[in-house]
Amino acid sequence: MNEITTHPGEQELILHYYGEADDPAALEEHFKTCAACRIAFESLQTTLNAIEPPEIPRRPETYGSDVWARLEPALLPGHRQTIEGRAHRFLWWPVATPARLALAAACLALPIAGFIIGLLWRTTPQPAATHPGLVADIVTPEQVRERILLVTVGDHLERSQMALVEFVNVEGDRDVDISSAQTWVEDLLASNRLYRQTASEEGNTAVADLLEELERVLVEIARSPSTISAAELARLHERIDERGILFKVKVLGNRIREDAQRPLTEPTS
Amino acid sequence: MDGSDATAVAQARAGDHEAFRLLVERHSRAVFRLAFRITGNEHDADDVVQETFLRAYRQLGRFEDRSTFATWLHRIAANCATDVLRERQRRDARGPQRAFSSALGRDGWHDDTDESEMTEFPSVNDPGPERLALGSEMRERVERAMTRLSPLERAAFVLRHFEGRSIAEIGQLLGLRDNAVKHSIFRAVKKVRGALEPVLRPTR
Ligand SMILES: [Zn+2]
Repeated sequence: MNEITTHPGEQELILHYYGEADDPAALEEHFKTCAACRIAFESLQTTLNAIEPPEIPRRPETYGSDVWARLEPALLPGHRQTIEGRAHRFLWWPVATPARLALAAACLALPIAGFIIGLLWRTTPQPAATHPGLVADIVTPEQVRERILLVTVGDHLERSQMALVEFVNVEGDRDVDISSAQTWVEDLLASNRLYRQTASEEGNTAVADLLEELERVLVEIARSPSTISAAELARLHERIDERGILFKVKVLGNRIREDAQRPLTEPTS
Repeated sequence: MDGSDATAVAQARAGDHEAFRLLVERHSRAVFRLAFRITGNEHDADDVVQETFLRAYRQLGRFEDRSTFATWLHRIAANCATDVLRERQRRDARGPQRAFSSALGRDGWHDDTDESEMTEFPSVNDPGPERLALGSEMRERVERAMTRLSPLERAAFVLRHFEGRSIAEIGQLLGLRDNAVKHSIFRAVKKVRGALEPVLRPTR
């Protein structure tokens, strides 16, 4: 080891404390003969030792799958939430759709037009196969595609529903900042327009009507000033209530989720 | 169903969502830990985890096999977390520090001071109001000192001090040269010491 000819500075002592000094043995040797440096180091040690790490908050065993459940909808096209965008908060809402298809990314490649077709709104299961013995084997690419899109729309309605519930629960006695709500509303608006156009092109008036109504509410929220008075907020809530939009979105969303969970190949009874 | 990260990454790159899910499930907790360390805030850390995987998913094509997936992912996470700190500083420009204090709050910071470590400080030895006052004063001072750190100073300091990461590792995580990491740590220690030593002054 080298003999230290000058006294170590604070920076060297800090590195030594963290075990990153170039020559720790030389420092220790120096401390034996130099009380000033030894005391300086002990004082540094005392202070740093007193700074204990805050406990890491517990996360459940299922944390990884929880993260995935919230992440997956955002991996669908059309979402650009970033940490700066504030909308990411809303990815954290519990997303309950159990039957989300892992293939959802395939939506990227799919033409959106035509997806609503009768499928979404059919009330009876389609005959899956003409030969009962082959039922389990027959899953056409068409069916898979429809299923993916079904899940996508179901998600959209679910997110809209949660967004509205959240918005309706916003309270304030004076001015209320609704800018973060507006960020996600704009996000929902983009997909909503797409789905509404498709639905009306497909002649699905019931769906198109609901999405149109939803769009009006979303537009109203998006176009409000980012800070509104409590009274304005209350009026906005009232208009949402009057339309019964929440209920309608919920009912349609449930129906779609049921459809999405139905096995692709159902034995015809 | 237990492939390596490399295999899962290759599959995820080929568009296999299940493979990416596997990576998310495997690495979420470690990313949370890192994110919490840097941000000092539970909810920010959750957001960072989410954002990290989102960015990772989008940048998967840019992942180079010469680093491990975990290293690459942690780099993204450290980046997101310092972004959060910057954002927080901008937002809290007027009255900073709510996040760190809440993280240190009730259970975060150990209130029952370790006797063996504190025997040098007479006032800490006798339990009672004096000691309590000292504990909370310490906490406050640390909190205040932490808010005065720049995002990089804070990140480098907590990774070195709380996580025991080496300077080289921290440099990798934060995309800094070793020297820049060292100086961030020096500055952080200086500020924290300056805030704590008036409370900790040993009376011999
Ligand atoms: Zn000396």
